[in-house]
Amino acid sequence: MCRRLVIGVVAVLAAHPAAAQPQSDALSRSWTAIAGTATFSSRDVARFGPPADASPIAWEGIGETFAFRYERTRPARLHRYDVGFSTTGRFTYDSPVRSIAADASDSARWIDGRYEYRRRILGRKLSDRIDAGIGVQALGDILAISRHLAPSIESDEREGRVGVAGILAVRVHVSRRLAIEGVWANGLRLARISIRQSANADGSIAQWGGGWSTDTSVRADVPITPRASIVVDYLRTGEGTASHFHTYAAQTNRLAFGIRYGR
Amino acid sequence: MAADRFALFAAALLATACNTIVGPSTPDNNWRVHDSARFSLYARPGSFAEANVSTFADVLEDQYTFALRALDVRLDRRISGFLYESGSDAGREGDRGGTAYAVTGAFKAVCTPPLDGNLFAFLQHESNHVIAGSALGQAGTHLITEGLASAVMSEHYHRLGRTFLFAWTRDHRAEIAPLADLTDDGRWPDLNQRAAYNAGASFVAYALENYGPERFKALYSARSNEFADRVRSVYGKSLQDLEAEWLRFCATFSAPIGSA
Repeated sequence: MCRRLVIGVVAVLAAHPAAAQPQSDALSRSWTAIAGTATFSSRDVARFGPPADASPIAWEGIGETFAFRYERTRPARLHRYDVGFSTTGRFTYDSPVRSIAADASDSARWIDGRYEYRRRILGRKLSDRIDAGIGVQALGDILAISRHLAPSIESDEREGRVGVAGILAVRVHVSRRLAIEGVWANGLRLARISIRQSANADGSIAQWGGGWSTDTSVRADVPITPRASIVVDYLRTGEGTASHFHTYAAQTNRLAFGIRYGR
Repeated sequence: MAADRFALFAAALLATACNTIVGPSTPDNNWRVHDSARFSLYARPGSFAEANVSTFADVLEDQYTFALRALDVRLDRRISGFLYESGSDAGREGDRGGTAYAVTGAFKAVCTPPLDGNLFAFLQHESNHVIAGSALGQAGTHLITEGLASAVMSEHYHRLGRTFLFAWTRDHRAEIAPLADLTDDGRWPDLNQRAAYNAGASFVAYALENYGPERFKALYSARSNEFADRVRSVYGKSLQDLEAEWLRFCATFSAPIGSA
């Protein structure tokens, strides 16, 4: 059903009467700044699947996000650098049928960076208005999680993670006034995890872990001047991390708006 | 040619779509929730678990209080227990099994008849994982993680706590691996799991009962490679001496095994 819908949307967009975007060999550069809302959700996992054995309860919070992007683009390839910062609070424990507030001081914050190299494939075989690309991505982030339980238990977790991913991307020039890009990235990560629990006699426990990360992003560009456009950006990241005593799955969502300036 | 390469690359990428394949799915919402003071018990409508949910709540509330006292910890956290109708309902083999998730304060348990001490002890075991993990954090070894969950067991509704564990140790001495092996996480998966769980729980129950919770908490997070040294520094004796002391105590334990 979903596949049919995607094919249908692409077909409709491809049949749009708007003119194709002009091509040029020139190098273009752009800078983008966006801000919006972010959510962080995690579930502890006993065993990854299929099928995964995960907690039916999710620890979920919402907050703010800021990100900056620099791109160098030629018709056949693209270099993209992303840096973002997100902070979430107002956490709840969400079961399938209800939600209970977590401690008001619970939080999850992360700084993430991504470098992406992408090459255009298929030329104009798909359509004059569709660009397809494949590429690789290097990513790194630092995640800080703080949880609290009554009456006075505190758990702080720090993770430093690096990884690589493969990328599939499609950019559809819907019209002269609108371009939509979808990117899907899937890769593996290495993590250094440090957990400090207030009742733990040893202070903190540090261990290595590994896992995966799957990004799905959709971005729309609406030009407002020849060099500037309004950007709407949605990024959803599903990830899993396994280590000796701490295994979990997490999902982050980011919906942000901003400005892209290019020349 | 380019299209072929593209198709191959796309297929390879899709084949490793990790989050979709190995990540958890969204849990279903066919549950009725029954709240007690510190538990939210989720049962399938019309199930055996729902018919007996107030009994389970009584058992678990008693266990919560018992565990806090035994470990000398303070914790005020609501625990969510998901009581499945069968192994297949829970996505696992067998009709008695469970998993605890300390970070999110939840446990899953396959909840099937009969309504007896074994079922109560099993639910108490899973809730103990959440209580210990919440109050003390991650234990350092499988022995302490699993041992504690069965060792700190209220016997208000059955005798499957210390009474069973010490009698079992007395009667199954030949099946019990040395503590040096039981505390080695590298060897733990290869051990007879029933014997490892019972022996580990018996050792933890002995250590808690005879030396108190403060010393036990100092041992709690020791990893396999530091366990023996930690025992010496906390208890003032070698792991072998503590093991011999525990086994001597169990050998003279007088209650019959499995008495109710």
